[in-house]
Amino acid sequence: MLWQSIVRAFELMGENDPLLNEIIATTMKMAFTSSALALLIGVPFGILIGISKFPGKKIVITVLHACMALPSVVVGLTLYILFSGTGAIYSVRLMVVAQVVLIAPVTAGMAESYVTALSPWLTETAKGLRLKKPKVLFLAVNESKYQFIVIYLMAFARSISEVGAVQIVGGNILHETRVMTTAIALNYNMGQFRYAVALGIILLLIALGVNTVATIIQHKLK
Amino acid sequence: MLTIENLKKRYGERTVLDIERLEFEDGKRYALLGANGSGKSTLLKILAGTERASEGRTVFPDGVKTAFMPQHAVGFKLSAENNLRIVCNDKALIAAALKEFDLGTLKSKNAAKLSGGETQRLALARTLLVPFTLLLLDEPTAAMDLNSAQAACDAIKRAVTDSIATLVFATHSLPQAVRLADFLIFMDGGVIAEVMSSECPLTDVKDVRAQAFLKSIIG
Repeated sequence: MLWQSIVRAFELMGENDPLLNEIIATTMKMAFTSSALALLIGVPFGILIGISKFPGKKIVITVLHACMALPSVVVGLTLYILFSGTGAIYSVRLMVVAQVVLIAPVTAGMAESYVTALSPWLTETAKGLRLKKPKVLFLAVNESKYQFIVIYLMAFARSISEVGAVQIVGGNILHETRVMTTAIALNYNMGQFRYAVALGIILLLIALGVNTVATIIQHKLK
Repeated sequence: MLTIENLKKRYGERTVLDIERLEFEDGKRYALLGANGSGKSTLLKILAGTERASEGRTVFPDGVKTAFMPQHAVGFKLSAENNLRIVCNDKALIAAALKEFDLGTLKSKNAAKLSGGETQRLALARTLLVPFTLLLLDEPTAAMDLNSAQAACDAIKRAVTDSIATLVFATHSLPQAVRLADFLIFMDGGVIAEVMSSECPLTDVKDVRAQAFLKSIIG
């Protein structure tokens, strides 16, 4: 069964099926957009928390860490209730919003955790040199850039593999909002296991490709 | 004048610093001497504002501008030249600092890949480029070889003289302390054991804790 699925996966890729290409394109569009946005929103927020001292910092960090475990179905349902009746429901745009809500706390939490580890010597040296906050922020980003690749990879992985929220707010509409994970779930429900596993293997190959590119960039940054 | 009054620093139950009163005259140079754990670094960190005292107060002169180099010298993950540029935009001053600290051939090298001594030279050069009236240095030459340490001492002396600044530095090197400082401050277990002029013979040291420290390093 598994071997047959692997063969089917390569057959599918060789067939240049327009529907499969469309699903992959929608998946990539959603995953790249949401992971990039989650990185752009979450990382500066996490770094700011990491390098700053303010009352209630521990509470903010605790809430942030709790948000890292937001259940995707809950996020999907909440957005569904908020946006049902509006034109935004069942769109890739809302799927991206759902994923950003899910992933931004994770990127922020990871950035905060890394910067906090680096913070004592960085802030001590920066304060000794009387550097202004923007320069400290620049240094924190610069010192952490290697870690940002890891954070981005994690964000991309979470985005491309997520199914609960995108199913609810996207609706898995053919030619519109169908992505790899919702297509896999659909084929599983229809009993087309071989096709579902084949799609899963293609998904894995995409993830492997993105990871390889990121690893090359990481080595160049070193 | 910089004045410390009833300064205490505690970590839990442990008191690591307990200074009743200490004064630093403007434009003078002070060396903090003492064994590990005597409170030198804690005192410098409190003066630099990177640590808070548990009790007491520090009165700084009006308009004080502090520059502080911590014990753990750090090179930011930038070229050596850009490490200096982060504090100073003047190309001529940067070029002079690179030359003075023998960093010319390393200016394009990533500071994260420098040796311990090179990193300390870079960190010191960077600190001296910051405009200051109070310079705080925590073992600024500990990782340097003898020649580099001597050159660094000359650079520190020149920078402090040019800025008419007060210098407070911690060191384990008695010759460096005598050479660079106007006053020697002996510390032991978080308290000031004795303050004396660096021009006085070391045989004049009266406090038994300071005598014991001197004996441990001179023999």
